[in-house]
Amino acid sequence: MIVCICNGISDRTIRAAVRCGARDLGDVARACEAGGDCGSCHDQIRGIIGDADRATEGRSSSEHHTHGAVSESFTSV
Amino acid sequence: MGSSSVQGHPAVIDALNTVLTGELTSINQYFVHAELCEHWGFDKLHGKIRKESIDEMKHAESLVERVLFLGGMPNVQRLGKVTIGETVPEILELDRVLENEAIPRLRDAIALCHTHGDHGTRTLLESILRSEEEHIDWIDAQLELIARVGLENYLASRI
Repeated sequence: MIVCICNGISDRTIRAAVRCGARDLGDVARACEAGGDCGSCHDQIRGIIGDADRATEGRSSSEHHTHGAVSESFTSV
Repeated sequence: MGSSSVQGHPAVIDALNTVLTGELTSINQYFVHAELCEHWGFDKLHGKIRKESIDEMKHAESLVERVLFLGGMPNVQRLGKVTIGETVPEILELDRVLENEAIPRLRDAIALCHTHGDHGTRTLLESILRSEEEHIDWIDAQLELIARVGLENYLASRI
């Protein structure tokens, strides 16, 4: 589904950005442009980041997230 | 702006504007979904979803009329979140989400009208509620058909 209507970015692309290390709205916007314009999709993007955080916590509760840096290898899917 | 001889309760006008926001959001989402279906060649789905979008436009028209009649200002600036499906089942599911939000909102607004004795507004909202119930019933029937005959067979029947 298309989450960011302004830039036509799908939930799959946003999930890929999050998998590559995006941890907040700014990271996601820098990685794939989603949420960089009107902001209507910010709640949905936060939800996707939250899903990823919960999945990570499930795997390893002792590991901490690194903020800011998004992997250079990220490419839009 | 002309003055109205009937003054609506501020809470009723707010509720009408909240319902209006939902209708304006649905118009846009359904319109894009209808055009996507046409683009993909599913002409029957295009016709049906386009009609749903235009139904929402008629609801919006009657809500704007009612807000003005009650002496309020229709809020056409506010819009909810539009989410666009990339497949036919996703389109149906996402439209179902909007309808599932609209129906309790309408029921709450109807109850509010009852509390304030605004039976003119209540009657209008009841007719919109019946229309939304028919729409969600159609969506559910499509999702059941997909489960029963398979997606490919369903899509072949919607060309």
